[in-house]
Amino acid sequence: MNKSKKLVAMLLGAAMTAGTCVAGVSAEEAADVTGEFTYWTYTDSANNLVNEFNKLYPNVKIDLQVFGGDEYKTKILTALQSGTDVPDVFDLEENYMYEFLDSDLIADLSYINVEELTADYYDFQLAQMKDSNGNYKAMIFQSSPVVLWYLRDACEEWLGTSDPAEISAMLSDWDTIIAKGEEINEKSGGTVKLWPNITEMVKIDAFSFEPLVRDSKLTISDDWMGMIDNMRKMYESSANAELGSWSSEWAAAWNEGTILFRVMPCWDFFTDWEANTGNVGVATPFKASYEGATGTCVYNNSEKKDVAGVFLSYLASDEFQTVNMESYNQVPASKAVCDQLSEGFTAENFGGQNLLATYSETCDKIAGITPDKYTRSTQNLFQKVATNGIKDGKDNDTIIEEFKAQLRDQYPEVVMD
Amino acid sequence: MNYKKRSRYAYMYLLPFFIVFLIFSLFPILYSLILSFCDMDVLSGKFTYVGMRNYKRLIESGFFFKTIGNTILIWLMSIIPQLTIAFVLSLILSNRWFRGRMILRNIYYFPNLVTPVTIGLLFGAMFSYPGGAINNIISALGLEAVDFQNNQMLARVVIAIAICWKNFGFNIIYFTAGINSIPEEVLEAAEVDGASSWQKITKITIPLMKPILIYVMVTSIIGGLQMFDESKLVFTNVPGDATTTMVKYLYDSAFVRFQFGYAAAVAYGIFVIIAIFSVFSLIVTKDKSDEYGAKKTGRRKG
Repeated sequence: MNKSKKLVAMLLGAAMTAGTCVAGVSAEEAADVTGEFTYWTYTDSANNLVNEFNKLYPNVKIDLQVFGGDEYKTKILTALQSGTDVPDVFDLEENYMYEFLDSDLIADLSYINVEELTADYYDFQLAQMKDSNGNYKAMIFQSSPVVLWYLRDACEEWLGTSDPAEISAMLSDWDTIIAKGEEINEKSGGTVKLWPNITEMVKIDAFSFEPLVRDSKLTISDDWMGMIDNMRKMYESSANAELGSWSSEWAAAWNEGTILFRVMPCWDFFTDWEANTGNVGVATPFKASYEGATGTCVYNNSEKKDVAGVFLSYLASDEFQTVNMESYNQVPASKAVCDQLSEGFTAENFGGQNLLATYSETCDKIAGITPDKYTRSTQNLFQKVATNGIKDGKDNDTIIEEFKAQLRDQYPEVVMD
Repeated sequence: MNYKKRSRYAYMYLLPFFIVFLIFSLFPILYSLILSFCDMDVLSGKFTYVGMRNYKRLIESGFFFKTIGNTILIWLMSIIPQLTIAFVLSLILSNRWFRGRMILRNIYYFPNLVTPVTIGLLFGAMFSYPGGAINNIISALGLEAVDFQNNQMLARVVIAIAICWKNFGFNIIYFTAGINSIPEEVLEAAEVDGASSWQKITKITIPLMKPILIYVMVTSIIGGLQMFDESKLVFTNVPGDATTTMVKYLYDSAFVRFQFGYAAAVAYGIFVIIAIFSVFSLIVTKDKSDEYGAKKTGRRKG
């Protein structure tokens, strides 16, 4: 065994026995680690990871290949199926990750003592990293909590406050939100709406509920039925603007302050920063969820699992997640890092708000449910069918029948009562 | 050069085509046929034979039949104006006295060069509610803005307009070529006989363009029934999935739900439907008269 292999083994061994993070090694030791591996991803931001990793590990060469759009999914799938030219490390996007994770082709990350490395992670992040058997198969290193975005001056005018904690307390459930929205609508003569559309209600609720399909069996709990009722109430109320999410009208209305809130993750890109710098705020919703995640996986048959393990361990490290937040504005997956960075943190674009404190509070509230291949797709289907059914004036039973019919068509193996 | 030697050369020249055909056409066709009788594990790629189960699921899927209806509706709404506009414009542009016809022909062709993604996003933005360009015009006229996306038929119409806009210039090229291939003497003879412009079009131009018309019709059926990009991109969520087409359903089955076996069965379902329409169009447009205009009887008189 050459020197660099010994060091990689030593680093992994240290991580496994003492639960220390690989990035905790000295620069000299890290510089002694040599090797190379291939890393496939679909996002340009991976260049940042590689650059930061190479600052500590200058002698590890990463062949980073970025493929855009749907091409990536097909490419990684084809590579894994054929077993040729498979990258040693690859990213999977949340909306298809759980189709892949149960496969033996993806390494169980226990070989890098992942539980110790991620001991300070938020519960929901740990849940997201597992396959259906509870094995850690993907490394996640950043969070995307869903929050309520608002303009400070608009909220001052219509709610009497722009303080995120006060706003969160004010919007404590759907009935309160609807009542407040109707009040604002009346006061503004119908020009200002509190809520953007009924679809965005699902983004707040859905991850707090028991998933619709578990072990291939459909169970529609009272929570889901209650959600349809709340959506209908909102739709029929004057609190609702019913502007389609991500549409230009929806973005313009929010940037002008004629809709007060929109539900978006921390990576929102619809804010007109030129017009609203320093005037933006985010508040924790009364129920919490996340939108989107990237899981980094190791190919189980890779001959470079050791050095790939060093890379994944680095991603989980406090050092990297600190840099990732400070340099690239990515919310850490580690609660310890997020809480530590939140001390005295202010964001000028957000009127000096301690954003990290709000994000951490939101992440803390997200339920630790391990998704499977049905979780997000059934949520989306339910959201679509409920929204369309409510708009068409259908009752709950008809909506549920329609949902079941579509689910049966898409996943005939799902058992339904 | 003797016959055998010449044959050998002929086969050599044909070989590249057959190699490409075998690899890129025949192999995928046979592969997907086998796949349609199997389930495929997403990652290992392992096939499990399931017999006719995927086809049974397809036949029992009300949703697939709904997508057939959506596709045909959108296709009809796009193909009729598309061919009509293309034919009328190519008649106008074929006139020698018409100045600037080459420039116009090129301008009409430009939309065909725009990528489907761009067209999808462009039309989505133009017809968005309540502040898209079209709704701004409607509002400026003092009318109420229209929510195109949330009206099933209007959403289909918008997609049909997008497809029509993209393709009519392409058909102008075919039609113009067809019109220009009609012998000048025939038209002059008709003129000498006192035929009106309308009579020249209906009695000479259209009948002599029949091969081109049939070609355009068949390719439009094949291309039109495979529509995907515009239906996926113009509007993301239309009530009742009114704009979900057959190929979009195939795409979702294969690349969203990773049900490759079922998606292969859907592909064969689409193939059968397109084949039925193509054969139907060939039967409808089959020449029922001989070169002297008499009805063919199916038996030559002695």
